[in-house]
Amino acid sequence: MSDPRRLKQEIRDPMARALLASAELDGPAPGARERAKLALALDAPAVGAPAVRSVRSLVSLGLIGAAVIAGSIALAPRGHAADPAELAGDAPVEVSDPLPELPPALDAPTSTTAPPDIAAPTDVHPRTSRAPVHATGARGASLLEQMALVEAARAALAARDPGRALGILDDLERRFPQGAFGEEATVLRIEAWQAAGEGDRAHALARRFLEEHPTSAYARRVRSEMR
Amino acid sequence: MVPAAELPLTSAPYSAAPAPVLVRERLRACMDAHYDALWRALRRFGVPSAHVEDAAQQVFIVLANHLDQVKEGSERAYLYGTAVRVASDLRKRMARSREIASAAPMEDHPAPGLDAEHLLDVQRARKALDGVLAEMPMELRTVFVLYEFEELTMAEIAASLEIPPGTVASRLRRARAQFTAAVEALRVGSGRRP
Repeated sequence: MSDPRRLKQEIRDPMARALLASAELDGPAPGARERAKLALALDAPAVGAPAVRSVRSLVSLGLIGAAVIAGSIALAPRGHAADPAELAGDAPVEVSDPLPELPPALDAPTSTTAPPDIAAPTDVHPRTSRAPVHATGARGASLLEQMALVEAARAALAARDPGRALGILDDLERRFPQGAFGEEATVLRIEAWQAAGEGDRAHALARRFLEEHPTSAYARRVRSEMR
Repeated sequence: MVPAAELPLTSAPYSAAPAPVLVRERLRACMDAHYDALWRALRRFGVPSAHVEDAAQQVFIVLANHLDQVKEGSERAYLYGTAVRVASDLRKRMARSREIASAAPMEDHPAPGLDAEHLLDVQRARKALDGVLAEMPMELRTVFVLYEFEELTMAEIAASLEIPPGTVASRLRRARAQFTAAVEALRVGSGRRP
């Protein structure tokens, strides 16, 4: 059985995406790795280098057990013996069935071909190996910007201001032509055009959307706009 | 500065004596390759930011003490497995220590290049994420973090935690369901519509 795709590559909900992306933006303080190297005597301290932190503080505060430090418990990652949840009893359960389909809102697109004016959703983080935190951070930041614009467009539409919503969506597509929220943006554009009295344009775009994304989580919503 | 020789280690201390060059190089390479990711994983496992640097250092000390028992190429799995246990040990001790639980405030170290307004969104999202993760049973949270954020394969997770691959799949499935439900609850709570 092959591994399922990562949730951040599957999930379409902007809020869920923002939460997942936020983890990528986290990282150690500058110099933390170098301090760790110093603590393990791997590197000679540079002149003026910041003071080395050590596990002494955790030990003195009683946060790290001597047994862990000595490795008598954590000698090898035999995993769960020290995990409270494991101690609480989580018997391994063998399952032969594959992971279930994600709920409709999380369905993966079956088509990656987008019409010319519909930005195709792209894998949010298609890397196969760890990239430096700053690089993934930039992607995450971009994702959050896109999410903020989608949310702003949605809010404008909810406030019955389709003109403003369309302006925001134009901005979104201009800044992120291959953005991660292409489908959401298109659906909002259909609704905005409809609300602005441009039914013909809304219907044309809706038809194209359904041709390209027949199994989209938004398909039913788009069909309802065409009635 | 507290050099390694002064670390309060007990029965099997990390030796500050000069290690063979190859060992030092291997450890240094491990740190370069895995330190940042390990730091993030520890945070997502629930280690407060005030202690995560020490905890990460601790994980590498364990590795250093047992490097000769870790096969070349298995360092990553070993580090994550150790991180799970260091975090678990820390959480249990913190739970017993009100003094520590109310110690240093949480503090984030965002990636550079983000403006202040954006930072608020990121921090808010991350706070929400950590809230969602905190609601997960630890065995689900561990698998979720390793798979979704650290991008270990299911086989690697099984090796790291020494659990059957089927258990990894089962836990991931349950963790995803909990994550999705928790995000939906957040949306309902904040009045936002998809």
